[in-house]
Amino acid sequence: MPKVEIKFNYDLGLFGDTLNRIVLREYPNRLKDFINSFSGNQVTCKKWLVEQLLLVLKDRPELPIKKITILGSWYGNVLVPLLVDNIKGIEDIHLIDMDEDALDIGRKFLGREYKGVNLNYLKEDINFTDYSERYTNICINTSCEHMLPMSSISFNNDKQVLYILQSNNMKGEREHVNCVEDYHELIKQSSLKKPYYYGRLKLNGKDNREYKRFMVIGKRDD
Amino acid sequence: MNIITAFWGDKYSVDELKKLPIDYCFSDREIPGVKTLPLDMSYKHTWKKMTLFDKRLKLGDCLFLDIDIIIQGDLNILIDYYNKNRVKGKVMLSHVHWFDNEKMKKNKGTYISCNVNSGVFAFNNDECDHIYQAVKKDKEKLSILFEGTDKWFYHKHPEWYTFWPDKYIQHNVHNFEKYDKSKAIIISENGNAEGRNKI
Repeated sequence: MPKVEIKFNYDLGLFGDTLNRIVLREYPNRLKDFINSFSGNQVTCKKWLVEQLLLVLKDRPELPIKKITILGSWYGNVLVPLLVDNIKGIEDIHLIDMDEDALDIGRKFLGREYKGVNLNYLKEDINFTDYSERYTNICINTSCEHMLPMSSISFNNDKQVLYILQSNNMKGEREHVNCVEDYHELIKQSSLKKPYYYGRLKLNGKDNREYKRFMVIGKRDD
Repeated sequence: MNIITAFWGDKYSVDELKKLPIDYCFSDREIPGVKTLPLDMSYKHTWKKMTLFDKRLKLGDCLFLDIDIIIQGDLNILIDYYNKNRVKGKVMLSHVHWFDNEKMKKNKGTYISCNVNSGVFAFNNDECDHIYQAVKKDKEKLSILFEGTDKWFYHKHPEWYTFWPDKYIQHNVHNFEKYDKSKAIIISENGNAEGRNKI
């Protein structure tokens, strides 16, 4: 498998300040959740995403990347810096989540502009929002297991959208309403007709239980 | 006011059902000695209860009771309260005061938290057809996303309900607000409370 070098120059000062100023002071109940968002598995999966996206874009430099929509963005604290630091040409990132507290922490952490890229924070319940009038170049969802199959979501320019989707086979978690057994199932339930990449990672989750995370990158056009 | 319940599967016995002072039972079978009406079994789990909002049933005002409740007070007090406080088009149901609501409110990233319980609810069948229409429209989607109807109400439709006074409906085991259980009219034995309503 070809390798690309991923920059992950995390500003630890910013992290410490945010932890103190925002999370501990305003959202003490979110401390554990916020720290979990920096867990080894979270960082590994986001780096994997950016690494494979870079390889897809290397082979297809014509794919537009200006506008990225992240569904179920949570805090956006790992993925946004990874995207911005490694992919040149991004202009706007829309972070969408139903958790307004996570969005507020994310906004106070990353701001409305991060290294020249506009960041927009939208509180929306993805399962009950119609995206068919909206445009995006890339749609990322790293928590498909929490939502209805991605086939239920489409954009105005859907055939041109590059979808980057992750899910897992960790059934039994109450919030996991839509796990998949493999990446073939993820491709199928997302209506992707042209997969550019698909793969899996073996990880250890809660109680050191092994589970698999799947990722597909592709489009819906024929 | 019609007092009704729903009975299906084998979790409860007919003897348990017959302890309730019901006028009608919606069921998957005919039950001797009970006025039985057919229950739409095409809905999963407790979603079947939502079919009782279908206005074609022409039920008027109803008090629904789950089978796993203990009636220890006068149901007429509940009925009087409903008659005096009912809001057009809304369901009156139980408030889950037996768990910490503040914790629930802070859990915003999932559909797991819930302070609504439909073990005992009152409604006017002619006025609540919008609930039936909504569940009919998104039947599959809703049963995938929500562990039950209470969570659907809590997360997506707070405008659809009002609550009984907390002291009237209490839980058999849990009592976060420390109410006097002897004052309860109904004690809920909701077996799912431990796992499903807690954060």
